Amino acid sequence: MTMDQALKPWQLNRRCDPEQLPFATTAELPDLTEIIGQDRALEALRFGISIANSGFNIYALGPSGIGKHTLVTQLLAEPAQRRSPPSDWCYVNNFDDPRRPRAMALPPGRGRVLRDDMARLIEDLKTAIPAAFESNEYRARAQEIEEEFKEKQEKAIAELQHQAQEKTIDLIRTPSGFAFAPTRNGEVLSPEEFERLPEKEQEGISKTVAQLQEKLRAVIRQVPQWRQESRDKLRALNREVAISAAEHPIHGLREKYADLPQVVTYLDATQEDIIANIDDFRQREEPQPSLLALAGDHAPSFRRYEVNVLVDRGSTPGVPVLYEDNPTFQNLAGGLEHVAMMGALLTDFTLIKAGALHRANGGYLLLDARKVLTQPFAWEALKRALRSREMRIESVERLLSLASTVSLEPEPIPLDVKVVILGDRLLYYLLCEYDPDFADLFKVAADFEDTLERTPESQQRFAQLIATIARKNQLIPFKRDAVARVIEHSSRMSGDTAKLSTHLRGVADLLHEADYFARAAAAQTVDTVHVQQAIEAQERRSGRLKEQVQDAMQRGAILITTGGAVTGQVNGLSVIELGGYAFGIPHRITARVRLGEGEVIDIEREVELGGPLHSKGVLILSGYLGAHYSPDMPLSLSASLVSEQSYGQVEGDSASSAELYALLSALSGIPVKQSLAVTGSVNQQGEIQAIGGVNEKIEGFFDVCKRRGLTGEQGVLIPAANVQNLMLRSDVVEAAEQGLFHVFPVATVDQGIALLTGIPAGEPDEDGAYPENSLNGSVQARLKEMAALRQAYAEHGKDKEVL
Amino acid sequence: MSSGDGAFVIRRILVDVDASQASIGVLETAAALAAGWHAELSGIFVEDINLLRLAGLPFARELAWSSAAEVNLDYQRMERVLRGRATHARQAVISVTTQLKLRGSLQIVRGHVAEELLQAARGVDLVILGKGGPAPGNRIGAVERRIAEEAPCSVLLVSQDAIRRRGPIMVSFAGQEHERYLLSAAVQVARFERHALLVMIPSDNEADYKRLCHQARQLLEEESWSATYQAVKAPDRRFYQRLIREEEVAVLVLDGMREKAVDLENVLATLDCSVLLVR
Repeated sequence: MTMDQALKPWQLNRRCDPEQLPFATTAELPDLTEIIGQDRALEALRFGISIANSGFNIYALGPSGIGKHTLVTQLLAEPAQRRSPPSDWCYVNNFDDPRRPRAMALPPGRGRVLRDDMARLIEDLKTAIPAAFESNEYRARAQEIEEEFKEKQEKAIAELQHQAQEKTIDLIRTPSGFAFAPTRNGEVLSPEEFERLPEKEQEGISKTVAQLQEKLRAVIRQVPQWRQESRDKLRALNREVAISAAEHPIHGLREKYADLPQVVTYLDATQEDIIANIDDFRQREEPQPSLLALAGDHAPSFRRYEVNVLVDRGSTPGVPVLYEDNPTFQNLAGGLEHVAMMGALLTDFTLIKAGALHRANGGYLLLDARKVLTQPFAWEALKRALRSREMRIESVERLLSLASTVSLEPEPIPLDVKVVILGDRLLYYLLCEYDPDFADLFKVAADFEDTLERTPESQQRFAQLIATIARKNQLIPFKRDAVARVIEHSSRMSGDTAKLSTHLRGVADLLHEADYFARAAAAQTVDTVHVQQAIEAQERRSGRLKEQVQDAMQRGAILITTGGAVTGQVNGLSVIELGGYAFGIPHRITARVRLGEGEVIDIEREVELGGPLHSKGVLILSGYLGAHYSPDMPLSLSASLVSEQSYGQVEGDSASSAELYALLSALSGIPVKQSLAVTGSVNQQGEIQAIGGVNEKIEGFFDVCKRRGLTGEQGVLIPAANVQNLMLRSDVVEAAEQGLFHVFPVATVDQGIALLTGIPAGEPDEDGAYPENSLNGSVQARLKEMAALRQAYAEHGKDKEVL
Repeated sequence: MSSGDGAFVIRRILVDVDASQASIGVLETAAALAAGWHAELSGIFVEDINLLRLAGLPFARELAWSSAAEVNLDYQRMERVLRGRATHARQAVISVTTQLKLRGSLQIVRGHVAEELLQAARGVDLVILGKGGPAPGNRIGAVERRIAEEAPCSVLLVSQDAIRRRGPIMVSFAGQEHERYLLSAAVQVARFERHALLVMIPSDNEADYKRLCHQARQLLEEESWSATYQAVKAPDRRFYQRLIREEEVAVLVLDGMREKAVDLENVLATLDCSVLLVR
């Protein structure tokens, strides 16, 4: 092995030089006012916020924890403060049709004032109206009407009585009415006396009685009319008294709200209703709400004069910036509450509740894509409101026709809101693909970057960001060495030496944890050691599975050799990612070869444990073998490849180079050094291509070797293209510095196999033949041998029997 | 019973029960007072001879007040009706006397109502009967008038309109000796029926008013009762009418010995409250 091919220790981890950071601790640094590394998203957001047209709502896409919410809130704060506050919105009773409450817009703060004014008005009227009706004047006039009615009856009866008495007939009260009877000296004639009268007189009496009865009947028939007249008069009197009692206070309000015609109209309607329902006010006590009271039809209840202030903008300057954390259908679009009364569910306009759309109306509404999409009906409700640009109060039960309780259809409220949805990229692309309305309603995409370029300037600003987070969260200041370590960790998180991660939550978490360790050590400032402790603690906390796997390797339950040489066997590397934590482990890849029809069998695929990318990698191998070694003859091998002791799904093509090396070793019979591990995918040309998770993979093999004792022979072959991704742990770098562990960048299969076997791969001559003592030469010779053997079998017609 | 001998004492009450809804209210009032005085309650139901005679006439027709429906009357039917009402009256009397643990009885007689009542009023201390009813033409009928004028004892005419009123009991006090008796009667009714007492003091000047108030207060103190006082100057009927309406007076207490017959009829016809004539 030529160790000089290995990467230099400084190439394994791009350090952040504290000398480049011109401060002692973060306490010296000013707060970061701008947002770093999100220029594209920033531009989109500024555009989306400024443009007034409808449909230009914003979808801010990027992984969670990247600071979308903070950035959007920060950007909205200024325009929200600058703009003048939107209207208050109230719902009031619709006296013409209580099922359709009216919506009223009032200047900010005046909704509440109107509500209090109305409450006071009704309270005042509750005393003023009974007082007016208890006044001597009213009582006298009412009594007069009553007297007049009684007198009319009395007079009519007295008149009749008089007429009767002239003819010696009396009006007699019977148990249920009146009758006429002839009298003598105040006594009714007995039937016998009547009999004794002359017949003519009898007839006369009968006739007179009949006439009188007719007259009495006429009087009695008139009574209901008189009563009606009397009632009408009383009603007119009541109305007159009511108007005089109510007029003054309502007129005061009318003047106060003269600039708001809608309120004046409402006050007029209220006055009419109060006068029409004056009896409600005449009772001293509040009438008990009855079943029908809430239904609003025959309601002797004062609720109908209340003002339901749905949105009160009085106390907050500027327009609202609202984040709805729980965007259920009701929380978003508002709803109707019900009260249970005698087993029925009732509602009225005072039970209309505002949703986030109402509260954010005129301003900005922030929503979480995942939350709004997972809440039933919420997404549809949001789109409906944005499309129609008005908010209707609808209940889910009614939408689904599940319930037919007494319900309302409140007048819709015009909507003017800018919605900013925060969500991950996948949801954005899915919505674009499957929701035809989405593109119309969310025209602005603010795409957040996961990483930013790592330059001295950006490192300086990153330091400022650390200072800002530390200050905001009352963390103790960070020394510049500690800052440098955080920057390195951020670079490692981004998986690129030339980048920094913009994942703010990850950074903030690390700062908090480092602060914890610093405080535990009673330090005044956070130092590198505390940051390192925090990083290691994070790894330890998530490292249970990793340790179990490594224990299994140490004990030999999982077979991994880290020394010696074996034919057809290579240490591959893979990454396991669980719960946001990724670690690498080596695994054994073996190849077996025999005479066959030129197929390379991927055992993983045969048992359906290999994913499509893995299968693709393996299939490429046949292409490589055929083109590389036997363009002119049939490929006459049957090779089988397997990832040993793998009991789950295998995906990705990063092991394809390792598989190829195993295959070449098996074909050539030349053993492969087990002190090396391999990662990288391969193409048909034999070039090694970049893979992901290179740091974890190297560290995974390093950890196994370290437990067994580093020999100085051990190392990992990585694609040359991955060198820029190296941000290895400090212990790996230290081992490299001491010559105990090596990382080899490999660009081609030939380079790789030479490193693994210690035998040069060999270059082909003009005819495509490789030198005999080269590895490629051995492979070619073996393939030729197989082809010849197969041909021999074919000539004897024994192919089928043999194979 | 005579005035001037101090407290107003009632031992036997006669109440006219005709079994109408109105007269049940009167019966209840009478029972409450009887309980207060620990008096015996005698009910009387008079089968009006005039009604029976009327029913016997060939052309007899009854016109219902509420519906103007015409019903033929006949003797048997009228008898049946009266019998039914008598039964009802008996049950009502039994019910209130049992409830209030009173000594009570009901006599059923046939005859002219006023005469039978006057007859029965001999030997009782107080006659109670209704005044006015649902039908007009009878705010003060012949029967009430005669009893009020001729009964040898005190008479309480219970107004149908005022029966549920919670206003005060009103009495006038000008310092005369016989008025002490009126005051005593008013206090007792107020106490038993749980009303306030309003004492009218007819006076021309402040000094008179104060003196009379003082006197009245002293008298009331003997009865452990208190009242509100109001000075009145030359009160006429209109004044009383207005006052009764405004104060919602429940019972007006008058001197039944001194009110002239003509005046009495007027008072009874025009004042819209119950009236207690003290004799």
